Amino acid sequence: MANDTEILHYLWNGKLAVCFQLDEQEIHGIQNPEPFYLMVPRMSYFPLVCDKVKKHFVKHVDPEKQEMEMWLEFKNIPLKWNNPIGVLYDLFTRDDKQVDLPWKITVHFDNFPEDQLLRCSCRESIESNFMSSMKEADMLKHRSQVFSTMQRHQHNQLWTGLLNDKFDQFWSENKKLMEPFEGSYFKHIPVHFYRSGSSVMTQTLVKPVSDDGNHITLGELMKLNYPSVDNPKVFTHGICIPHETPVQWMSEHMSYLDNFLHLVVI
Amino acid sequence: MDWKANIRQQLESRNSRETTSFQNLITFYNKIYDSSLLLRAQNIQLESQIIRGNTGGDYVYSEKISALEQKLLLQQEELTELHRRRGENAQMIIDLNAKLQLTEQTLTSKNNSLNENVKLVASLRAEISLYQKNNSELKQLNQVLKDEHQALQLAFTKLEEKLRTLQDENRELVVRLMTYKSKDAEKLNEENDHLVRARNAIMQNELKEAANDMRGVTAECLTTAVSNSIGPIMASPCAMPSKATIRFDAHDGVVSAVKWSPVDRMVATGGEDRKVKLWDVSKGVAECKGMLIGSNAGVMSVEFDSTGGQLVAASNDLASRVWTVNDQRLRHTLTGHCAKVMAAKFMGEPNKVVTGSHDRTLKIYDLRIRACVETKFAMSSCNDLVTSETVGTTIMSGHFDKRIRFWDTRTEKPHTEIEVQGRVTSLDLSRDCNYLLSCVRDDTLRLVDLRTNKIINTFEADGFKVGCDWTRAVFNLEYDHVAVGSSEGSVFIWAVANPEKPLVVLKNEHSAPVTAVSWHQFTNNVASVDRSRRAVVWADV
Repeated sequence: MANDTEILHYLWNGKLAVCFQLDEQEIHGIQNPEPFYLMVPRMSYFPLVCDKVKKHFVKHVDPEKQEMEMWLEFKNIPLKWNNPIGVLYDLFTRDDKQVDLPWKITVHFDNFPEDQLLRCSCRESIESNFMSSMKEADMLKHRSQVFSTMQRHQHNQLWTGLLNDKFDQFWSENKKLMEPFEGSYFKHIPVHFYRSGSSVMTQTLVKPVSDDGNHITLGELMKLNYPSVDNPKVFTHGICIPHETPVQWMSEHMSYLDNFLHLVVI
Repeated sequence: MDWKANIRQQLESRNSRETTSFQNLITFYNKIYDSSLLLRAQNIQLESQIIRGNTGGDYVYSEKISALEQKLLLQQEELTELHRRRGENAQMIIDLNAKLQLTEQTLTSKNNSLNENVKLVASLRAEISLYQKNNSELKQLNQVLKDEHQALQLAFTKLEEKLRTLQDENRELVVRLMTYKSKDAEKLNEENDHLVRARNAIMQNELKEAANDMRGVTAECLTTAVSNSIGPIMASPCAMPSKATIRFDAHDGVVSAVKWSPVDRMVATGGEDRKVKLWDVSKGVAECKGMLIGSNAGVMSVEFDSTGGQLVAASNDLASRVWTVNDQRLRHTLTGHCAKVMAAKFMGEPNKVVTGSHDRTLKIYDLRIRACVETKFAMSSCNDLVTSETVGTTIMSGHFDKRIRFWDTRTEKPHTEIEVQGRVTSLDLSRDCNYLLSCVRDDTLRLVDLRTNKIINTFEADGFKVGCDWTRAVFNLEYDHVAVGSSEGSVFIWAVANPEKPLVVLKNEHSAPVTAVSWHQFTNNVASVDRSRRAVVWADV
């Protein structure tokens, strides 16, 4: 288990160097804004780390548009704020070739893509989104028996742990959610599948054990879900996961903070 | 557990690749960025401090600064005070400007009024000078007029004196004339007496011869006849006018008035052709000696004064006029009546005229002052009037209301009234002023005794009709006969002693109603005029 905790620490400490740039058409004024560099946690969400970015760029846009909501875009694809940053980064991974770091993201204030992005008006909307994801994951894992029994301050501890990048604060509560339901397995595994290059997410009901009582590995799961793909590679957290890894273990150790596995299939 | 080791290895390499390689750099960048922001903020702060003027300065000067600040404060206060005062002053200036404007306005208006007044004064002065000039001119004129007036006065007094002497002379001449006339009359009487005596002698001779014949006539009868015949011979019809000697057309249209001149054998006639004509009848034919013109309407009566020198005529044009006969010039026009004037007479003296008018008044004019001196209100229109020379101031007027009124010139009311039976058309006074003959429209003549104011005789005759309201009846000189014209064109003459029957009726000359007759003063010549131009002079030859 010491190893497993080490893995959790690795995952928690995983950060990405991001270079934010303001869209050239939105520059207002003579001076071109300098790009802004920032280390962002893979497990976190963009709206929670971008305060400084907004503050840096807001001086250089049209005063009429300063009040508008900031949104991000990479290679003309808007980045969904409700996905963890690591997932967004991994989506652009192709053929083992990851995007060059630092990750150059374009910042927009104008022309919000209403059809592709949800509005994120405040922190509370992120919190409620995060919490509902956790609740959904707990529903899949324990029929929501654990999450609903948790106190209000325990929920808050999860959220503030995320906000303040406090591993111990978060895991002291998250630990309860990661305990097996009956025996050594969850009821179902909460998992989101993505195809690389598109932000379309698919979700299926995945059981940790097969009917014959053996635990299901990632390879078996892939065969089950993507029978047409020959030897699919599964990426998450920027690494390729070996096929023999059991999904139960993955769910316990490789899940993002919302307790979902976000798997990018190539 | 190779898959777990694999994952761990991969994660390690991942973290070293993605995180640790950039971690320091980005952290350092973030620090630099933050510090740059901080420095920028500091810089701005410092700049602002510098701008604020090194306020965080030395303590050495702090006292001085505070003193200066205090001074500054004082100065500022002073400044604000001064500003305030300046504001006040500005306000005051504005007020004073307004006041100044007001006074300027009043000044200009005053100036304007002053100019106007000056102009007015100038014009008034000019007017004054004009008036003074006028005044002096007028004075001069007045002086001239006064001088002229004086000269004229002098001339006038001289002329008056001359007039007086002439009048005296005239009077003397008249007296002389009268004496001549009386001598003539006496001579005539003597002649008549002589004639009568001759006749008587002839008759006595005849009678004697007849007595000598002795054919049965008694001497008593004879003597009676003779004695009776003396009177009738004196007033015999032979002495009365019996024959028309001169006939002429006097005027165009109606001839209203006729009068013998008291001195000449001259007849004056007045007609509706507005003229008065003078006719000399001494040569047996009528010769027009003159025409007195001036009237604007028909002439109703003509009258000579006692010397025959002046003639007054009453006219329908509301006026009476006086001419002198010799030079036939109009001397006076006497106006004042407001209806036609029916009669105009001299009042004894030749410079007073009394007129009677249809406007029911009598007016007395003094010719010397050429003005009406008296008006008498008679209450009825006057048809004729006479004045009594001997009684002097008595006026008798005959009226439309059948009355004869007697007036004293000094009283306003008539002192006596006599009522007759009809409208009075004419009046004539006997020479002794005791009898008044009036023609009345009941076709009679009435003789009034003025001593008793009674009607003593009434003359009437068959066929005698009074033709109009101004038919004139007259006495003869001896006032023993009266004559009047009738409407059928004859002239009736009565003897006063025998009023019942007319003595003579002169017919067949007039074809229209006879309006007026006039008896010559000394002879038995009668002039009569009618309504159709004709004038006839009747004589006893």
